[in-house]
Amino acid sequence: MKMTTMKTRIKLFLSAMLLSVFAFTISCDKIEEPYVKVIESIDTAACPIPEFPAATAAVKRVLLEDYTGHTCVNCPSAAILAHNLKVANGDKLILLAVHAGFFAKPTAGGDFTYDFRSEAGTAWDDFFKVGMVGNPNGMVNRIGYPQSTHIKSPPTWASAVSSALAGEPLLDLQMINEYDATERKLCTHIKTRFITSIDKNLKLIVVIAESGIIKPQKNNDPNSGVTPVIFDYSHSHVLRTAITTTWGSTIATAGTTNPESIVKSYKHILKDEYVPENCSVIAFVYDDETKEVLQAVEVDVIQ
Amino acid sequence: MKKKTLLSVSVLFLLLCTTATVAQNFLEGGRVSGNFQLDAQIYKADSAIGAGEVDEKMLMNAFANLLYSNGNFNAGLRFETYLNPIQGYDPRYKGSGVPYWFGSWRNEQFEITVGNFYEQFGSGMILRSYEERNLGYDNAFKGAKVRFSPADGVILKGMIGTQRFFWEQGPGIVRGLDGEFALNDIFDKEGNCKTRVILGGSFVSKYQQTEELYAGPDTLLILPANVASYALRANVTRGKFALDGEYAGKMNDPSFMNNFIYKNGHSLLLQASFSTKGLGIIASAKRTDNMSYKSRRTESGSFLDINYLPALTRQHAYSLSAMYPYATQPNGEMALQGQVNYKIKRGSLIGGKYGTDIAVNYSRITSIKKETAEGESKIGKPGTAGYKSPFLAFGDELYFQDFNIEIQRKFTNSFKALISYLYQDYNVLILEGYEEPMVNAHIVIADATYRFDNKQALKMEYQQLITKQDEGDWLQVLVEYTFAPKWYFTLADQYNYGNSDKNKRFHYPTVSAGYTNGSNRLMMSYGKQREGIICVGGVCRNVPASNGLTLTLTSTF
Repeated sequence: MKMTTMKTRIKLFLSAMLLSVFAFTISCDKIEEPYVKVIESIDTAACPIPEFPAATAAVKRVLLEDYTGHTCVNCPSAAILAHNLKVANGDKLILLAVHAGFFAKPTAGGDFTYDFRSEAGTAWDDFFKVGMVGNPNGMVNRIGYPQSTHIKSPPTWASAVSSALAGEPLLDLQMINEYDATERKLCTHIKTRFITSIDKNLKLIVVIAESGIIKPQKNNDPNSGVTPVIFDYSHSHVLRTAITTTWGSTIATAGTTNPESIVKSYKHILKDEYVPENCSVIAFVYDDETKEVLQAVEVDVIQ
Repeated sequence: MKKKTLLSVSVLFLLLCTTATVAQNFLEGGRVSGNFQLDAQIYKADSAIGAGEVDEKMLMNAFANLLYSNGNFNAGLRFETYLNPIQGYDPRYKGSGVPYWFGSWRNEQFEITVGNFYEQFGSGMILRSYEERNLGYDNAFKGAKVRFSPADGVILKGMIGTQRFFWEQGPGIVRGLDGEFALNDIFDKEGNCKTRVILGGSFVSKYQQTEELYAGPDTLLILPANVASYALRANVTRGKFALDGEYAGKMNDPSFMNNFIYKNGHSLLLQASFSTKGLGIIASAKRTDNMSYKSRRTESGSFLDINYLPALTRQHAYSLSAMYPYATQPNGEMALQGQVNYKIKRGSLIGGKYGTDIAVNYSRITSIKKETAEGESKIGKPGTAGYKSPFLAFGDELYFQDFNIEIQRKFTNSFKALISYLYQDYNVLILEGYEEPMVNAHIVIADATYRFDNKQALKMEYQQLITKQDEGDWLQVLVEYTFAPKWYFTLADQYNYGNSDKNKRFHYPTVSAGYTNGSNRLMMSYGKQREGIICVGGVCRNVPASNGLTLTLTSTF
């Protein structure tokens, strides 16, 4: 009897060990060398690189990211403020409305079921913590990170934009877009021209923005529209998707000499819900260490 | 119609009665307990010491725990509010809510917990969740755990959950199994064997969806979605001797913390102790190699840790001895620690009437030896195996060293004193991340308490830190008067008298008082606090300089 109990215990012990070993073997993805894969390079046959026009004097352009959401009641007035700044600064100011965070969440039912969010926008918002501070808030060229002064409230946008525009451009961006309506294929080519040598890790992010999206928006400012909901609100400069990855492609590496210029080309098939006539491509180059945007450019999908 | 109404009323009445009875039974014999703590700080800018302007003027952290117990059933919750988080705490805590709640019940063999929970397997090297309020650290799991005792001496645990990330949950799912077998309870119920042996093993796996992460301009990392880790441990005791050991391993886990390398991780912790009346000896050793294990691969801060790597250094309580604390280096460290506690007999010539306690402690932590991986020219390059490291080989770089001796003696029934000397080497580059020479510090501490009667006591502290590096020499004096059981008053000053920049030889005076009434305690202090680092168990947070009023209220019921 005693021996039987002992055997039972040993069996129990061994069963537990075997169960654990089994659990271990199914719970791991062992990656063998090589640990990396080379990203598929651009199909130049499908997207031949065009001839860029001769470079003219570089102009500093600034990116204003408006972190917003359709249930954010103060956001329409911030959008008007951004629009007025765009009118005042013209092509020198590029607007991008990033729908991310609590106020951008779609509701299960009712008027706000549409999901404006994008993978890139959510990742940026997670990283820069703009939505956590609250909407509406924004970033002007992402200046101020990581000192936590990168999050700018709408009343400070005008001065931040003026200040950012005052600097001399370190590089120039040119963009050519080609759109094939049959395949909804977009080929976008971005040429980065280094005006001065920059010893930094630089990355290029390319995104699609769309305006004229008519969807409900909460509002509490009668000067910005009807309250409490503007049902036919026209959402402008909405970040739709990133053509590059969320944090972009490397175009310069610290410690290496910059070439005179570099051209990056991307192929992208537009989703059916995007209206190509209302879409533009925005590209910007930033310093990977400080995240500061050094130059930006925006060109319509259909030129 | 009337019949229907009558029927509905009857059913409702029955339901209410049943619910009321169930509720009454449920509540009968139940016990509710809890505690509350509020920390508030009112700030005043002081540019000289680097205390900046605080827009809110006042910041506050508070929490309350409520626990309900009834027989085998427990339930509880913790309400937290940070309006806004006091300085030094991560601003992402801003807000109020209930981040922690749970229900648990147990019977003869099972204990089941759902909701939020804390758990530790072995020494925690592959799984430990805990809360440390001083650090603003909380990596509680949210999910379910089961504890199963199928037989005497056998404890099996299983859990699954995501981890707390401020007011959200981290993206990774953590699954874990642990088994502990007390061999004497299983095979030697009669207790014939004088040697007691406990064996244990753990397996943990995390899942996080793969994502696009670059190794270079045109190369993407091939990421493992599931990363497993395992640990084996043993505890052997015989009489006055005890031996503990745990080995942990982790499979390929490229992450921000290890610069996205694919090398497997290893950790070994050994501890031997001897204890007899008046004498205790502990010797410990630890090797850690690439063992950061988080439930988000791109996490850079001290959050979402699945595991815990204990620091093999003494945790100091005095301000100046804790000025240069050691933070565990998960990417690699070799640590050794030894401690001897000896009590010189009471009544002896040296020991005095009440005896004298002596504690000598030494710890030394260095890097591990690293060599380039096969086919690579650089150590730790992303998207490679990273490096090779011969097991148990010490590296050349000293991270931290601490020798300390402490002598405590009670001279009379009303007077006791402590003196302590410490020598510390502190590698600023490794532990704080900026280029500064290694700090070599000598620290002296004297602490004396005189008890006037059963209620009144006066405590005096003198601390001095001498170093040529960093901010130079420091002095601290403290006087504390206690009027038991309700009141205490403290005056203290820290003085950076040896700062090489004469304009920065600041005083940091504080005055504080505390009032205790039953289970309530109110503490107030006014003064300046220097910028520094607080570490608990090798996990650290930076505390900015501040100037102002601090108020703490605690209450339990």
